[in-house]
Amino acid sequence: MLRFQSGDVTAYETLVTRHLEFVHRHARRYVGDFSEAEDVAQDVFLRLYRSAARFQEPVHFRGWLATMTTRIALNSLRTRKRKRWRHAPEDRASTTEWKPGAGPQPSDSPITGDEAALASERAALLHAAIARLPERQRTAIWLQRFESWSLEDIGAALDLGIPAVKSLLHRARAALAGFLEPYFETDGRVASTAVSPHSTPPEEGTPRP
Amino acid sequence: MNDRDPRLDPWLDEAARLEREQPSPDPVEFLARLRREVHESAPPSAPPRPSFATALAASVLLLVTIGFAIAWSRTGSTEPPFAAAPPPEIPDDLDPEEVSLLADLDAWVRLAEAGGVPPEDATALEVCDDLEVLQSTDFDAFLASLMEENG
Repeated sequence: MLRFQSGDVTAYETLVTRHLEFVHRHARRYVGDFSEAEDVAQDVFLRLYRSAARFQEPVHFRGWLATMTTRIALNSLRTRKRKRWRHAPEDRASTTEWKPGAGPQPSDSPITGDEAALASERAALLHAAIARLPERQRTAIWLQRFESWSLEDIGAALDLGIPAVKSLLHRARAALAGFLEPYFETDGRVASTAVSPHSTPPEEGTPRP
Repeated sequence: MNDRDPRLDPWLDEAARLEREQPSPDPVEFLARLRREVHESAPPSAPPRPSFATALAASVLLLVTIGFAIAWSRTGSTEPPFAAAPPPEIPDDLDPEEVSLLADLDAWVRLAEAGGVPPEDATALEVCDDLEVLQSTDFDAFLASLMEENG
């Protein structure tokens, strides 16, 4: 990062290569689509290129990347939603079936077989439940459980202290456990009486089901 | 609601593993695309490059300014080259109060001119140069009478 700040273009490209996978993965959690996530990643790295000199504390670089990816991905989602409402009203119904941010669809998984299909279904249910969380809880759980970030790094990304991050993760886990309770009983198999994790998201601060 | 529900962790681990198996963009292709974008878009913080004509005009202005400064320093004068009017000469042997009064001399002259007294009028100049008159309490009445005389 310091080399890049001093004008070393090779260092910039090294940074891009090193963090591309994370940025793309994180963007895809929001936008769902592979190439749209690529566009988001490109926008993130272009902004990095233009604002290199503003980094006072390169130690928080990963946090900046996560925050910028989230913002750009959410903007991309908003733009897409506006376009859909303007040009294709018939698409609205399909958006209720699988939403960007609900993670990969079960059919996206390259794994085959019954157990693989069930694992994929569980993952889809979990991502759908994560998508119902408030934004900060969602980001915290993704960074901790999917990216293995430390509490300190998550705090840097969310501009929070470690106790606040712990509290955020506590609430996120409690909410996820509540959402997925009906599915734990059936090990991910969708029961006819189960409450769908796609149902209306609760507001921040309201009691979880 | 239990945030330590042991059933949640296997689901999280499994979902994370599956996510990592998803394809990622090719870094080489991505960098090539990024390089094109970087070259096409100039950094927003960079100031616009001046045109040749602007640069030439700025250089000429700088040279003229330097020329004036050199000419001024060679004359040994304390008078700035662009001054509109010379400041009043202040004798060395004046006390601070007198200096203060002389500083207002130019203002008094302008006042007299505004009242119709021509600058070349000897009477007005004598009044303004005469410290005793300036210090006297009758000065305002004297100036008013001058204005009256000159219409």
